[in-house]
Amino acid sequence: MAPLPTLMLVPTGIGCALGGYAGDALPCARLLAAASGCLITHPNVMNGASLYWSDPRIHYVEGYGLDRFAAGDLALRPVRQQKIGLLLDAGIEPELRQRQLHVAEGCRASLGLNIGPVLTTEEPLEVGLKLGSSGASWGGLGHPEELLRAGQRLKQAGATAIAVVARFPEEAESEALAAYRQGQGVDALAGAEAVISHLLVRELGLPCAHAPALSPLPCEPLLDPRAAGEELGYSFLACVLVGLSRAPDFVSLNTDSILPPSSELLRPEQIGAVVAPEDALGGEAVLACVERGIPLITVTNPSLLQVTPERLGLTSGLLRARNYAEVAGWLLSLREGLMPAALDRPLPPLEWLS
Amino acid sequence: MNLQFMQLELIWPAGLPANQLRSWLLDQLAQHGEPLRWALIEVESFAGEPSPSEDTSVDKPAVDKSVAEKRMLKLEAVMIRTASGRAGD
Repeated sequence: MAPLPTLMLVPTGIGCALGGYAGDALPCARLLAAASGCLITHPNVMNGASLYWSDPRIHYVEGYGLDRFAAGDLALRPVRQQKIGLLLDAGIEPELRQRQLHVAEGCRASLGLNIGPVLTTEEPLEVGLKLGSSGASWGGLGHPEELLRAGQRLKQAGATAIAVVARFPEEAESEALAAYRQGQGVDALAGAEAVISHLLVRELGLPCAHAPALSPLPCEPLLDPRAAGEELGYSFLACVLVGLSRAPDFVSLNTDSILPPSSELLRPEQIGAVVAPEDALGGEAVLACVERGIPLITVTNPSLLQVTPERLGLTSGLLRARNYAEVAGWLLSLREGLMPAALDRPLPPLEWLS
Repeated sequence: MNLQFMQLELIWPAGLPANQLRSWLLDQLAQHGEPLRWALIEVESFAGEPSPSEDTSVDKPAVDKSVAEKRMLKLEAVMIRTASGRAGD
């Protein structure tokens, strides 16, 4: 059975019950990869800090690149290996910086990843965090040019992917962090992380992903299991390096240059389905898929938002699932060429043209 | 270059289908710079549109579609702005 390239989206920083924490949608991604044979998803789904999973059927694509892929602007080219440049924020203290380097060295020695060169920005990036009126997390950078300059230098030095580690503001005493650690809040860092990686991908056209540098937190006995992946070590970098190590290249389709052979590419026309939480359909990738008539599978996965099919006027042409196990069933039916309506009763009547 | 967080409220144009919404939103955002990351965070009905759960069976008064389709869109976005104030770089 031929694969059905499928986009799996769990928007970052909106408190999704599944996927709003430390890579806790990863089991769902593994299931959907098995059902579809080809899953394209983003770091928020795959990154569990010290925890990660590598599967040749899963393509790790940062959100900006994923949006462009969904919109038909670029294709993906799977690779055997990326050479990952490591970009460190000058605002990271020496000991915390050393922890990041230990992760890089460990991933080289124990996993065989191709990492380097390493570069520290000339000035601190000065990451700022923000919550929107929706409660979703966002953020920005005091010195975006520093980030881009360092990224360009790594690219010129031969890096084919970039892992960036930025110093994030500490909020050890905050109520928001306490709620997050108990599985009740929004990941306050996630929005700023996405902004950093979006900016790099836009500028460099390379696979990029971000890990925050933070001091270890005091041990929390009531820690929610979904957040536990982030409290196992001193760094969030390992999952990023593993994800990027086989992240596909981006190949622009808006060019007059000769493209690689089609057999090497995963093209946007091949997308067979997009899967997204039913109340978070307002992101660019979902709307681009709606624009292009790609089958949309919505799944119950509560978050802060209420951008539902009904509110968008998407009352037909979509498949609804109560959980990711049902999504897997829909994907299998699409992959097998079955009409999904045949799997339910009553069977809709034949349509007649008058 | 600087990055600026922005919240925007727009009226969904009557008659614009959902499959043309992205392009229209991008046009609106482009008036403020280049959108780096954005999302629709709320779609709010007003001026008498029935909510999705409201009964719209035939024994109820018909709803004027031009009124019923008025929806407020709320977006959050991070925009790229250059020193000149123009979009992109």
